[in-house]
Amino acid sequence: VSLDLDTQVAGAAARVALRGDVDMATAPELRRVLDELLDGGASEIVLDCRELEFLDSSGIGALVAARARLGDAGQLVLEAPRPNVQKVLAVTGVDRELTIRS
Amino acid sequence: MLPTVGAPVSLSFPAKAEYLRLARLAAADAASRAGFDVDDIDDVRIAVSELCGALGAGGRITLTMFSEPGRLEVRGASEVALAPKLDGLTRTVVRGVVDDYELSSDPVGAFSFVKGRAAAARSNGATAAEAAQDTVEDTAGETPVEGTA
Repeated sequence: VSLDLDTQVAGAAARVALRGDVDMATAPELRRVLDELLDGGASEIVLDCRELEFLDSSGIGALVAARARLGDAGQLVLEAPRPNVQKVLAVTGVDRELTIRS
Repeated sequence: MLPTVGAPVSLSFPAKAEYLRLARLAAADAASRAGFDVDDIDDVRIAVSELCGALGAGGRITLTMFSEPGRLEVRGASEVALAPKLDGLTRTVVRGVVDDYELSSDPVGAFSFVKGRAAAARSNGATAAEAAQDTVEDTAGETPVEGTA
């Protein structure tokens, strides 16, 4: 598998470190982990993207779905995405819907 | 002996999502042979991944890559007669990263895209013909797929 997800939960705050590639093969796994966190009541999810090497449109789809489920009160934060990941976020306009921290 | 400029490189792999990473690695190598910078290499990785994914699962995919200084052309062909389709998000991503791309389904699902422009053409300066070509490419986008099942 070319994606590792390391999840830590503290109350309603969750942190997921992504390592590897999110593509058509691995996006379902990201979606599953995000859904689990949301099912468990997470309202602030931080995705550590330092080690995320690749993100495609299926990954964007997983992020958009999680963002929609969080609603206005929740927050989805992408931390330190690499330039290639930032580009996909920008091209799709998703960078305006999520919080991106350097 | 000097390396042959533009000698095509081909890669054949099962049309399954788990092989997209391999396709990206091969495409990144072809892009670096074209002399692309890191940003353009990343664009090629994204385009190959999205377009190979659009060919769907089933059979094998053959990628053929033509590198020359400043320009890379990639063609992908499936073994199955399935029309490649891009959903809205995927199309937005592909349009954001390559200069020109095409999808076709005759007789099998296929795509092609071009990134960059040959160094020779660029050093001569853009002619009116090239400028006109750019306009065509900008509006070409996705070729309508006919005769889909």
